[in-house]
Amino acid sequence: MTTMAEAAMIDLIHGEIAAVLGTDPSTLDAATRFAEDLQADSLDLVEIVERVEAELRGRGIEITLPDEDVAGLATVGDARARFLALVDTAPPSTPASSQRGETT
Amino acid sequence: MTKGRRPVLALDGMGGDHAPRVAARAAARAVSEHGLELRLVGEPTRLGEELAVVGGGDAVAVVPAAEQVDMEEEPALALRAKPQASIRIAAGLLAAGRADALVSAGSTGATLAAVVLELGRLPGIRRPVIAAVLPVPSPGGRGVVLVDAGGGADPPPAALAAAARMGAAYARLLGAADPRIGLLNVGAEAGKGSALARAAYAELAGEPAFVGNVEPAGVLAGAVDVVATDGFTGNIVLKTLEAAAPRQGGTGPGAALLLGVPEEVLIAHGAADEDELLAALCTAAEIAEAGLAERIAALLEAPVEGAAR
Repeated sequence: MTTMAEAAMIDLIHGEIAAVLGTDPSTLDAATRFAEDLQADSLDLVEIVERVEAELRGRGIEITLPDEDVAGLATVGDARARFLALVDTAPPSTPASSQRGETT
Repeated sequence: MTKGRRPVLALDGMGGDHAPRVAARAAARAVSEHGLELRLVGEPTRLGEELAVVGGGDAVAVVPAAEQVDMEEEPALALRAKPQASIRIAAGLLAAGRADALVSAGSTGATLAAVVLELGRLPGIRRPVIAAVLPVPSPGGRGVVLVDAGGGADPPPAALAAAARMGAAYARLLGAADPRIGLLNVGAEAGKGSALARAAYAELAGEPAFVGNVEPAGVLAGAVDVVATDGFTGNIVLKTLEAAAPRQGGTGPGAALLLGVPEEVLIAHGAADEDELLAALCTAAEIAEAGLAERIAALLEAPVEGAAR
């Protein structure tokens, strides 16, 4: 079980969304829609998810959002819910498991 | 990249209609005929078989990648599902400093997505775009830069305007001292065209280099140095011109440039033959050595004085 304060998790997610989409994080809330309100496409969503995962990995939390969940993210609230659910059950990361797409 | 050394190229060995044969052969020739340093990324057994056929393949460094993104797949989601995809591994080489420039004849969307996921974007650039130099007269004399030639099909107006500015920076480096930007449209008047075209016109209206709408005949007649449009329309323009005047093997740069990312990335035609892919590799080496991506980034940060409207 990994613990991370919900507020800190939401700040992290909002920060990565803002960084990718060039928006003000203070304007984001659970109802904000990725496509309609933020003009985010599938590449934006994957980039946001991978940045959040990398940031969590740096904090010792190893999680990977299932690919089908990434495609189904419609709102900022969806992203919060998916990540919070995973973080609550995530094991601590280890150096050997901290690389995705490592080359030889 | 560090000045004073030859650039290292990453080539997606599994991308393109004729992969891995064409990629392997172009890679072998790039090393043997041009002395380029190259990392060929893909399935080692298949690449090894192709390299063995042409001989001299021992000089080509193969970087293993077990997967590939197919043309019909949604690029970003496919790259997430396939972290060992050749284009992602190749882009990762740039991110890790193991290569300086990337060439791919594979899916344009997958190449763009892999580069964004591994390298990120230039500051302030939301959507990288594809720039193709059309071999037609231009005020600057080096051809017309078409942006976006195949990236985003439905960009927001601000992204289209940003693409035009990136195209102008590229045109400057091609020799146009004061590049003139035109917005591709069906008429010259400001109110012409689709909702996107009208909104993009408004976004560009304050740009000194913007000379207004330009019709296809104006593009071909050299009215502008840069023609801006969405990636869907731009790709149709490019393919129409290619159909009207078929590509000449080995005579051109053989690829379009990805703008808005921090390293040199060339996207070759999916049907590129060995000579065309070799030409793209040589171009990639030249522009990496010249620091093109870094110079474009610097121009985008600096105030641009363009032609008066």
